[in-house]
Amino acid sequence: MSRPQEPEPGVTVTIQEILRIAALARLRLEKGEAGRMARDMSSILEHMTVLGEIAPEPAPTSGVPQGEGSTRPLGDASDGRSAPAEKGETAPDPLERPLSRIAPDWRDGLFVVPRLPGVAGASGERDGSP
Amino acid sequence: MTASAGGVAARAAEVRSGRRAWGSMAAEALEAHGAWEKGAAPLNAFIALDSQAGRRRGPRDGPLAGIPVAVKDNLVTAGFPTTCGSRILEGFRSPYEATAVRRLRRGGAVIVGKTNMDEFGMGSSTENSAFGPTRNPWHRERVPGGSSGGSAAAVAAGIVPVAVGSDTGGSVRQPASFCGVVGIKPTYGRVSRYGLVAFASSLDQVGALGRTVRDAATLLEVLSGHDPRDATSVDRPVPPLTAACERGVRGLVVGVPREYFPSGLDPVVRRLAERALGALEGAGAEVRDVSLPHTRYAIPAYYVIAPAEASSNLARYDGVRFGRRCREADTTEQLYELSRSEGFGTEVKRRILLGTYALSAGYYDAYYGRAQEARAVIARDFERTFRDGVDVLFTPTSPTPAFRLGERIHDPYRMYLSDVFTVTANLAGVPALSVPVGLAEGLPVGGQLMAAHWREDTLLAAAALLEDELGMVGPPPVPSGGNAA
Repeated sequence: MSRPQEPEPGVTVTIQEILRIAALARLRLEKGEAGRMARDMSSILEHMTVLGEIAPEPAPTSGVPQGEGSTRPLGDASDGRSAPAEKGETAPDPLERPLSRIAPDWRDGLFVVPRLPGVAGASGERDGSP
Repeated sequence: MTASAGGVAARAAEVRSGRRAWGSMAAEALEAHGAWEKGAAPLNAFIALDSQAGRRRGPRDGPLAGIPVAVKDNLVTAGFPTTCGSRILEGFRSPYEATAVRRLRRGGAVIVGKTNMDEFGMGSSTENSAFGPTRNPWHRERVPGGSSGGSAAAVAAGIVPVAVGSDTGGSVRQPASFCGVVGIKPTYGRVSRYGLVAFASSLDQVGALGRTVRDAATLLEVLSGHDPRDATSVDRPVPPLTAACERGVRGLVVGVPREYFPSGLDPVVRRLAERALGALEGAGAEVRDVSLPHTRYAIPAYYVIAPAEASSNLARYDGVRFGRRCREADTTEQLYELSRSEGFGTEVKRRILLGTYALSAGYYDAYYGRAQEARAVIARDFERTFRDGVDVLFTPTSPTPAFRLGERIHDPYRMYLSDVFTVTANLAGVPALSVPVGLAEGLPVGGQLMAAHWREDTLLAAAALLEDELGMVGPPPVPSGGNAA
């Protein structure tokens, strides 16, 4: 496969390529669906070629204003104006309840889940085996 | 209740003083919902409704005491299923609750239901819902916008005075514009995303919709604030947002970016936007032409970055951990593939494929890398403009009023262009708001205001002035039982 550094004008995504990408994304597409997706993707990617005009610069990875949010230790605002978390905001998370209370099924300290297909004895239903 | 018959603050005060029962407005909301669901073209704004909401008991204090609130179905909510408008989450009930919803309850609100949406927030019309499209209360053959179309329609119809949405590329503002209500996307980090089902994590933000600017401000004030459970939530004081609505605009510098007024802009939208600018100027603001020269890269950049993040976030839906599970699979690989293929709708699959393609070996630099560079230069456009003295930018929210159901659903790129004026605020992380500025042939048109990071107060001051000067649009006529299209 070629490694384009810029979006290519007139790029055409083939059905084979769509099926390869679908497999990576763990999606199964019917033949007609793959053809439609290939046409749509080609049309959409054609509009992306304009991105090739951008001169490379350092890129942000999120919309968080620089120096804030995840870049600052939580609860340690450097401007000294920070309000403490509101009353009750740090109350125990419901997920911190005993696992047995939120598990769909629970036995002997273990989650009970349906067997995965292909595993010996699998029925595809909840059979009580953890 | 009819949302226009008194603001949220006044109604909550009546509950606090004991003059109004806590559940009475929720009961009225359920009644109004029933009226809109009658006839051949039901609104379909809700995926789940609490039919007992009016009979429950709750706190009689708080700024939202007794106020019925609708919540978009991508915020996990105790007592309700959370589907994100998708078959893949059919029947899913979260063991915990989103911080935004907890804050609503603590503020005294009554959660009356979960609103319809484009699947996982992917759409601009609310047609991409496994539960059928929502209709626009102004014209029921038109879309309400999306992806928070259910929330916007519920507010416009007067079922609830305020509703919660989420905005990844305009999903609060564009439906607010189409439905004639107010919608605000706060600064990235202002409202906790804990319990918001992720679409594109660097862009997603919980937002507020209201019948009026002041109602939306009241809701946003309740939702805002630091949450240690969300690493992107910023520990910063929340300014008094409702008070900001009374501040006026004298001395404010309003920038008008020429890239948002292209020659092909709907002429009525242009005229209404110019009228709004005249109102701001008449109230003492200085209106100044500005340029955001990299705006043309916004839609391509957004439609690479958002699907790339979505393809990763949605990998968790595999039929094993929660949600829909295919019963026909023989192998684990088949289980993943079939569960996902049966559970996801066409637009979600399209975006997962687009994102996977953009991130795949050989294409990463050409698409994802370049899109991130475009995002950087777009953000710099905003920084420079605000540094040069502009307080607030004014643009149309959408190039057109609400389009017809089915008109764009088979043309994905044309649908993506509905977001052309809104995605930039998400890419830059700045706050933005849509406020009604008039009607075009009976359909609402919104004006968009954008400000520097953390300046929601400036947005609300300008929006309240516009609402006071131009007047509210609507509400649309309440249905009498037939098709109100």
